[in-house]
Amino acid sequence: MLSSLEFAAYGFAAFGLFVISASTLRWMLHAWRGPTATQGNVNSAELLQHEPRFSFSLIVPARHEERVLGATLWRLQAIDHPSFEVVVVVGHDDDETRQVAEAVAMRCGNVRVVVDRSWPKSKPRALNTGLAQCDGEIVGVFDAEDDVSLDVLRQVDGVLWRTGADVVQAGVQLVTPHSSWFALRNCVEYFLWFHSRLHAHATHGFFPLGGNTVFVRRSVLEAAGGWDGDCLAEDCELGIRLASLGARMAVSCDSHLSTREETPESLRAFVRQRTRWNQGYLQAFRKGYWLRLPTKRQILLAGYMLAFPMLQALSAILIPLAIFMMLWVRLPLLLGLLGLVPALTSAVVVAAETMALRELRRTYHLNVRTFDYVRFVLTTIPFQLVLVLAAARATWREMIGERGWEKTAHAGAHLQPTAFTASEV
Amino acid sequence: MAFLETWPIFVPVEAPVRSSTEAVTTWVAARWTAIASCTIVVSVIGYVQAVNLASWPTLANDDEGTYMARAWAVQTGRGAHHSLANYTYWYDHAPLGWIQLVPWTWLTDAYRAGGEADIAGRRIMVGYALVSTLLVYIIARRLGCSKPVSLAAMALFGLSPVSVDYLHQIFLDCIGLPWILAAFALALSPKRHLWAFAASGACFAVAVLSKETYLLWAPALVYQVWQRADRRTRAMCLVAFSSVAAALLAVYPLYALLKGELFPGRGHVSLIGAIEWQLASRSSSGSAFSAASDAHAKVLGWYHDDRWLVGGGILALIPAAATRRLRPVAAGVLVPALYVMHGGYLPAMYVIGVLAFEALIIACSAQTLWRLDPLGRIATALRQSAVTGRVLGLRMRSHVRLSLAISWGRLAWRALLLAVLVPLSAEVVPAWGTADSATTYDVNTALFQSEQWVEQHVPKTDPVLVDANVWIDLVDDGAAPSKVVWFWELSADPDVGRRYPEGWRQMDYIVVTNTIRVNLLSEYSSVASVAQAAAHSTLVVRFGTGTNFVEIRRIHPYSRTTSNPPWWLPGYGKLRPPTSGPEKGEQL
Repeated sequence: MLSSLEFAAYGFAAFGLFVISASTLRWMLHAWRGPTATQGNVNSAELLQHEPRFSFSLIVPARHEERVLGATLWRLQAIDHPSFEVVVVVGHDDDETRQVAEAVAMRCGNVRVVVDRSWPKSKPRALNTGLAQCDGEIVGVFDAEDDVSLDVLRQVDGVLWRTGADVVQAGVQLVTPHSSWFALRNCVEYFLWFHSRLHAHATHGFFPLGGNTVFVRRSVLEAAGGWDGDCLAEDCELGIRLASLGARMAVSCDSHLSTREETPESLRAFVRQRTRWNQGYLQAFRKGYWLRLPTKRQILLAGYMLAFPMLQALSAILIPLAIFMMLWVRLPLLLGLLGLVPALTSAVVVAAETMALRELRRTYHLNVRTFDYVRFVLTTIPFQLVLVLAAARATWREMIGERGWEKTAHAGAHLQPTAFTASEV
Repeated sequence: MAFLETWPIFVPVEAPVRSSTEAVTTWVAARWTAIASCTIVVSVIGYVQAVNLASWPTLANDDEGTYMARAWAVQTGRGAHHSLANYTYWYDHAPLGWIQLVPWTWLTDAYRAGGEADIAGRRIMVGYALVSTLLVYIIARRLGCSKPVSLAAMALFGLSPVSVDYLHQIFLDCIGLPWILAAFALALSPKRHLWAFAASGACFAVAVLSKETYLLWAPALVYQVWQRADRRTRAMCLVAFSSVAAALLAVYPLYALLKGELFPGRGHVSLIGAIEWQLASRSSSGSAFSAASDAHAKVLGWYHDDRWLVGGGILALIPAAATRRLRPVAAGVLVPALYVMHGGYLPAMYVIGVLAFEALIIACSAQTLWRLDPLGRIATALRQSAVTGRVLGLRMRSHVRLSLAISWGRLAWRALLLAVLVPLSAEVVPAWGTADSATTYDVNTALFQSEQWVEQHVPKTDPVLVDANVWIDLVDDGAAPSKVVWFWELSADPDVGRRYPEGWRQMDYIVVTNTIRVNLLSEYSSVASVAQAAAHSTLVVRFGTGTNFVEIRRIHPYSRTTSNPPWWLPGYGKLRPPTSGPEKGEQL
C-alpha cells in the first residue's frame, strides 16, 4: 500500500497534468467559445478602406536563403501601400544571398540591402543591424521565405490607427500539410496559435510575439533597446519585454492577409527549430522580464506561458506513463482512476484538434482528405514524442551553455512560381 | 465562408468593473418575479412530495434499500472488498447513482442508529425532485414559454400522481433525472457558448452513469445541441459535447478494466457479462401492445395513475413535432416511448424520465397554440386582399376598425382555447387531488415494527435472511453485515457462499416481506434456496395485514419439509390467505 505522501504526490501530479491539458483546451478553443466571439472586432474590409497614415520599414533578415529570397523580395516590394521600404539584412560572409538581394534592390527603389558584420550570426543581431537603418515609423519583420499578402500593410495600418496599439501581430500560417508526416500537425498548431490562442492571451494584455509579420512602432522598439541579440526566441522575449514596459499589444489574424510559410523540410530541421524555440522560451523565463508585468495575474500567466513548452513535453511523457502503469503495474484503483483524468482530457483535446483541422481546411482552402484526418489522429503520439525530444534537447543545451543559432533551411515549396526566381538572377 | 475568415482583429475592450454583490443584486432584481413565483410553486410541490413520505408508497420494492445499502458501503468503506456495494458489485448498474448520494447521506447522517435509512434517503430524493422540477421550468423558459406557462409545466410534472408516487423514491432514474434535464437546459443555453455544450455533455454522462436508460435520450440531446448551436460554431459544439460525454462515459469501462473485470472470466464478475445478461438473459417485459405482457401492465399502471399527463404527452407529440423549436424535446418523449413499444426489460420507474419531457411538450405546445392566432391572421389576409377588403369595408374605412377585427380575432381564438382548457383542468385537478391524497395512506408501519422486533428479540449472532430495506436498517443499528444476509445474495454472491457453505441451512431467521414474496413468485429459479428456507420455517410473529404484512419466521434446517408450509410459498401452499389465523402483531 502506498504511503499517504506518495498518494498526495501522485494526486498532485494528476491534477497538474489535468491543468495543463485543460488550459490547452481552453486556449485552443477560444475562437470558437461562442457565436459572438468575433463581436466587437473590426472587419478587415472596413480597415482596408482607411487612408494609410503610417510609413513602414520592413526588415528581412536573410542568411543562406538565395533559393527563396528573390521571390519573397519581389513580392514584398509590390505590397499595396504608399509609404514603405524593405531593408534586407545579409551577412558579410554570405555572398550568394547578398547577390540575390542586390539584384532586386537594383530594380526596385524601395528595397535596400544592409550588410550585417556582427558575430556570431543570429537573427536578432541581424534585426538590430537592420533597425539602425530604418526610417519608417513602424518596423515590420518578415522572413526570407515568407509568402506575404499584398494587403497586409494597409490592414496593419488600419489596426494601428484604430487601436492605438504599439505592437501588432498579424497572422502566419503553414500551408504545406503534405510535405512530411508531421506537417499536418504543425499546420494545425500554427492555425490554433494564431487564430485562437493569441486572442485568448491578448485579452490579458500580453503574448509572446511570433517570428515574423510583427509590427512595432520604431520609437517603442528603439526605446526598449531593440532585440536581445543572444536570445534564441527573440520574438517571444520581445513581446514579454515590451508588455512589461507598458506597450499596448493587438492581434490581427485574417486568413486572407496571413503570411504563408512552409513547414520545416525534415524532421531534423523541425527538431532543431523546436529546440531553438524551447531554449529561447527558457532564456526568456530566466531573464525574468515577465516578473515586471503590472498585475499578479499577468505574472502568473506569463510564467506559465513561458514554461508551457516544457510542461507540455512533461505531460506528453507522464500521461502515457500513467496509462502504462495503470494497465501493467496494477496501481491501487483510486490512483488509477486519478491518472485517467488527464488522459481523458487529452483525448478531448485530440478530438477538438481534429475538428480544428476541418476548420483549417475550410479557412485556408487546403487539400485535406478523409485519410488525412486518420493520419492526423494517428500521428498525435509520435508528434508529441518529437516535441519531448526537442524539449529535452533544449534543456540540455541550456544547461551546458550551448546557445548557438541552429537555422531552419527553406526549400520554397509553398511559393507559387513567379516571374522572378532565384535561377533568373 | 468559414467562421474564422470573418475574424480580423482583436481590440482589447475595458469591461466595466462591477463588484460581486452588485452583480448578484442586479441578477436578482432582473428576475425577482420568476424567483418569487418559482419559490411558491416549488414549495407546493415540495410539500406534496415530502408529506407522509415515510408511509407512502410502500417499500415493497427492494431497490430503495439496495441503493441505500450501496451508498452505505461507499460511505463507510465496509462494502465487500472495499468496493462500491455491500455485496460484490457485479456491474448490474453504473455506480454513480448511489455514489452521488454519499455526500448527502453523510451530511444528513442518514445511517444513524434507530432511524430508517430508506426514509432518510427519500428526504434526499425530495431535494432531487425539486431540482428536477426547477430545471423543467428553466427548459420551458429557454424553449420560449412565458413565465406562467413555464410554471404550469413545472406544476404539471411535479404534482402529477405518477411523480408523487415515484419521484421521492430512491430510484436511480430519479437520481439521473436532474442531470439529463440539466443537459438539456445547458444545450438550450441562450448564449450558445461552447463550454455550455461541453457541460451539457458532462451532465449527460453523469445521467447515464447514474442510470443507463438515459442513453435513450442521446439522439434527442444531440439533435438539441445541433439545433441550438450557431451555424458557424456548430461542428465544434458537437465535438465538445460528444467528446466530453464520451470521455466521462469511458471512465466506467476503464474502471472495470483496471479491476480486471471488463471481460467475462472464471471466478469473477464482469462488465461485459453484466451487459450480456441485461440485454439477452433478463426476461423481456414484452411489447406494450400485447395484452399479456408485463410492459402492457406497467403502461396501464402509469396510465391508471395519471392518464392526463401520460396520455396527453403522447398526443402533444403532434403539435410539438410541427414546431421546429420543440422537435428535440419531442424526440425526448418519442424515442423512449418507442423503446417501450419495442419491448425489452421495462422497469416501472422508467416512466419518470419520460414524464418530465411530456410535461414540457404539453406546456410548450399549449404556448405555441396560444400564440398562434389563426383568426387574426385570417383577418389580416382578408384586409390585404383587395377584393375581400373592399367587400368587407375593412380596407376602405378606418384602420381602427381593421385592427379591432384583428384583436377580436385573437381574443376569440384564446377564448376558444380557454373553453377547452378550463373544463379539462376542472377534470384533471380533482382527479389529481384524489390520486395525490393516496399519499396519506400508511403502508410501511408493519415493516418498521418487524425491524424493531428483530432488533429486540433476535440475538445479534443469529444469521437472518432479509430484504434490502431491512438489511440496511439492521446493519445501521449494529448488526454485523455478515450476519444479515440479503436474500438475493444467498446463492448469488461467492462471498456469502464461502461464509455459509451450507447456504440457507445456516440461517436462523427469515424476515418475509412483500418484496420477498413477490420475488419468490416471479424469479423463483434465482431464489430457490430462499424458498427452501421458507418451506422449513415456522411463523414466529406477523405484523400488518393486506399485501404488506411481514412475517418473521424461524428456520429449522434439519426438519423435513414442514407439515404446514406458508400459504404464500409457490409450490407448497395454495397462494390464498387462510380464512382464520394469527392476527397482526400477535406472538405465537
